[in-house]
Amino acid sequence: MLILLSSLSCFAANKEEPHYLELLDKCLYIEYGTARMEVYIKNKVIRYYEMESYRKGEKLRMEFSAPATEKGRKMLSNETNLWMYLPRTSKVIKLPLKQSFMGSDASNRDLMRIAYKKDYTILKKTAKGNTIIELELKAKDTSVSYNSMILTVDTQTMTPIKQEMYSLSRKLIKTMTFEKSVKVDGIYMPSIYIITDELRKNTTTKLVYSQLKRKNDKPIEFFTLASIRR
Amino acid sequence: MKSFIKLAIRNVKRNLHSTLLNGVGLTLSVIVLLLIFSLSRGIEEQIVSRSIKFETGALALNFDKTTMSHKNEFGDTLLKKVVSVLKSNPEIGDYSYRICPKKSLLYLENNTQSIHLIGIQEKELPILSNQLKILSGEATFGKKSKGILISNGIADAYHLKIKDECNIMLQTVDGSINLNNFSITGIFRYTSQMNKENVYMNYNEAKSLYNTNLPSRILLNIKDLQQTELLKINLFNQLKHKECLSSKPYQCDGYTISSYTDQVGMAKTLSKFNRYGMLSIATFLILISFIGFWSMQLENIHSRSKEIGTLLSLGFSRLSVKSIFLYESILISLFYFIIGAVIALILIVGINLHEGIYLGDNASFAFGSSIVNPLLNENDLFLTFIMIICYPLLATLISLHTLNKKKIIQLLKRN
Repeated sequence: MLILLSSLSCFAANKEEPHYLELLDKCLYIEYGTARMEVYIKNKVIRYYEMESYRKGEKLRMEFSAPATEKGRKMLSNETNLWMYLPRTSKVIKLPLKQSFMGSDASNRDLMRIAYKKDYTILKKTAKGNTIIELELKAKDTSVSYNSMILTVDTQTMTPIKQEMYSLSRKLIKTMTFEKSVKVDGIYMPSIYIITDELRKNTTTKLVYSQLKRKNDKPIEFFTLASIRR
Repeated sequence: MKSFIKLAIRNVKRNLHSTLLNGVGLTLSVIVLLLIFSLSRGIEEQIVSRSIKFETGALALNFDKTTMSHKNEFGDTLLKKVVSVLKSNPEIGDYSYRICPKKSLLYLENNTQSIHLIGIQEKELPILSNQLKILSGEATFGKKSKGILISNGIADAYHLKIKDECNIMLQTVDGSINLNNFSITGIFRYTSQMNKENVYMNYNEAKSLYNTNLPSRILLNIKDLQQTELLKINLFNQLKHKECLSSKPYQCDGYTISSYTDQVGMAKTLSKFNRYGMLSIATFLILISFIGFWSMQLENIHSRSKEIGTLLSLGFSRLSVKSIFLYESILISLFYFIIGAVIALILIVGINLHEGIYLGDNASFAFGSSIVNPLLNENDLFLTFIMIICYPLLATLISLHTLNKKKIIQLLKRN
């Protein structure tokens, strides 16, 4: 009888317990969006970029439209590689994923890859209020960039509020803050990302997304190296 | 012949003015040549010896990332096997472990600097302090081994000093980001663009930061450098598995064996380039000196035409008269070579006592090192001697050619 009750309660718990990581992956997954990225040092914008991004599964393509010096530049990434097309020289170069994204506080991997479920397991969940939960995540593999993360999630909208990224030695490397949730095709997602490098003072990067869509109609050929050369 | 030599000695003493002028030129040539030879040889020797002693070892075993990862269950076994093989080879003097992650970053408050991080064992610290001049602080990693040694290039660029704190971030052997806090315990003077970005830390700290099970490299020092290539082959044969399928030489099962010649090739090329570059300058100067000597000998012969005419009219043959002048030239060359060599030796010893010549931070681009210690060799001394004897002799010979068609009467009539 006791065994039956406990298994029932487990079943009940499993049924109610949301798959946070899977939901977060879905929340942040968009197939089209325009973004303006601003890099701040001591609260002054030192550089900005405007871009369109297209996604299909693990493939992501970005096209820069501003400033004029960057217009026409394109980036293409899959799970493990990143390429950039330079229109002035008509050349495609390979970039490391760990490199800073266009000189910002975010790395290429931070922005290109959405894989909470694939990369992390939940070690601990802590309720921080009625609708806020804090998840302590641990990387499944030592090849994942951030060995651990603390993710604060709004359980009402199932959107992330804050993400703290830690190194292998448990030192805080970066903080990503998510703001202004918008509903896109019935699922909420943050439209403003603020990335702070915790090691360098007075520097932040702000990404503001708009015109977000969950689906795009681009064919698979659109996400190939040949297509970004055109 | 003895009488000609006596005549030559007497003439040298009598024509002191022209002898002295020629002599000064010869002395300067000797000094310049010896300095050039010794500097270029010194550059080559110290680049190679510094590299061998500290940077590359005579031989090195380099492990790849996959082998170094904690995921590699056979890492410990491999290391034990390597160590036992090393210990069983009596030719190997000593070995040391290094951690050399690629692309590390030094994080400062408002800046980042890419660095070459090198984790070294405590036993190597005395060698490090011999190889690199410590400008401030000490060649230690502090009580808790959380110290780092940086170059004055980085220290000056970011206004860093002893006890300043900074973070070092890198990608671990598996790809994850790792970071830790360190304090500066020593600042060394960098000697080339290659070691300007070197940052040295404790081996175990580096190993922990890089999250690795094995060292990146094991440096081996060999008692007799001539045996390097042979030992390389032997080591490879002792270490490789029977199933080793790699087609690349000295590479198998997650490691590569390299010798110092594989790695200092660039430095040797650079120093040889320096040597030939300096030699071409020296050759040009010798040419100028030759032309000067030649014109002075012509003038000397012209002014002594009566003397020559007298000797010829007394029955001396043209050949014997010429030989007097040639003996004079050899005597002058010999005498001033000795003076020049002594001065050059004093200069070289003085420079070495002064710890070498500091050519400036950017000199390493051209010379492979910012500090140069001249090194004189008996071959260079002999070569200089031959050059100093030969070119005045040649100049004299060419000048004497003008006597061939001159009649005795013409020589006696000249003023």
